Amino acid sequence: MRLDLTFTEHFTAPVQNVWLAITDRRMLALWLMENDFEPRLGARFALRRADPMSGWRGWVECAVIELEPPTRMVWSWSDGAGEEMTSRVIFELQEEGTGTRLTVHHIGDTDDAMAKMIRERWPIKLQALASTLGDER
Amino acid sequence: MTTKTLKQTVLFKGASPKKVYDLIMVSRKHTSLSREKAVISRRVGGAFSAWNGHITGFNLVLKPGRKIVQAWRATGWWPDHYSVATFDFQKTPRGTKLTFTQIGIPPHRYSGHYRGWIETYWTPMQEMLRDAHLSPKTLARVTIDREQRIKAGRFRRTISKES
Repeated sequence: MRLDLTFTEHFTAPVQNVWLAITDRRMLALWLMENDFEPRLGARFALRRADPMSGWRGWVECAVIELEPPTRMVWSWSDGAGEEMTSRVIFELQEEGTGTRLTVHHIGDTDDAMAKMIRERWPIKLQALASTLGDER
Repeated sequence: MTTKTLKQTVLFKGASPKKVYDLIMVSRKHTSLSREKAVISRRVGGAFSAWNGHITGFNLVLKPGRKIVQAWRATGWWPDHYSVATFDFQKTPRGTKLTFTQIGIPPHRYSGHYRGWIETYWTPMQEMLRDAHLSPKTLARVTIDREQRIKAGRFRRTISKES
């Protein structure tokens, strides 16, 4: 199944703080998943869930394929749905007033069950990111 | 992983939001609450530790006099698990209202932390802001709390390289 998702959020935090929240391993663990992320072009890392939903292996293999601090980062994303099916996650940050507009695109291929899960989970994750950045939702 | 959320509201009479904020964020002032070492970074992403290492974490949001958000954990919690602690400071005619929310607390530690925030933070903070020192009752309470942590094995241990 083809994925083509876009989520846009406004945060009251400045761009540098939002960038930190998406590139600091400890902060990523608070709102996304446990990980061994490094903010380095080419770095391979895994996102892991201790209690994965049924039907999913529980981890995503990723790599940093673009890194332009503090405005753009792209990950490759392989969730185990199929060897030929990979996707990309694109983070774009832009100043918006005194805060930040974050746009997350998730584009590529995965199976139907995983596509449903991804579509449902990103809004929840971005809400958790808002809490991590001190914004009420 | 099921966790619990703690929410408390406390009034600090006659104190400005900045004074209340500084009691948490200035290492020397934070140390005065417990008489145990606190080292607090004042940088977003920077680390903090309090109660001689019993509490550790890092800063997520810092708005002096208005808001603190910290990734916060205590010894004995699940490995690498952090809660998110939010301190919201609001000026009122009577002083400063602090609305405190902590999400992601391991359930088996919830009641201890619920009591801990009142007895080892809000009460000492109220006394320091009002009297500039801790009352004998609070000092005794802080000592008992430390002894209980040691007894329960919830105290950071330093392992000697020579052992």
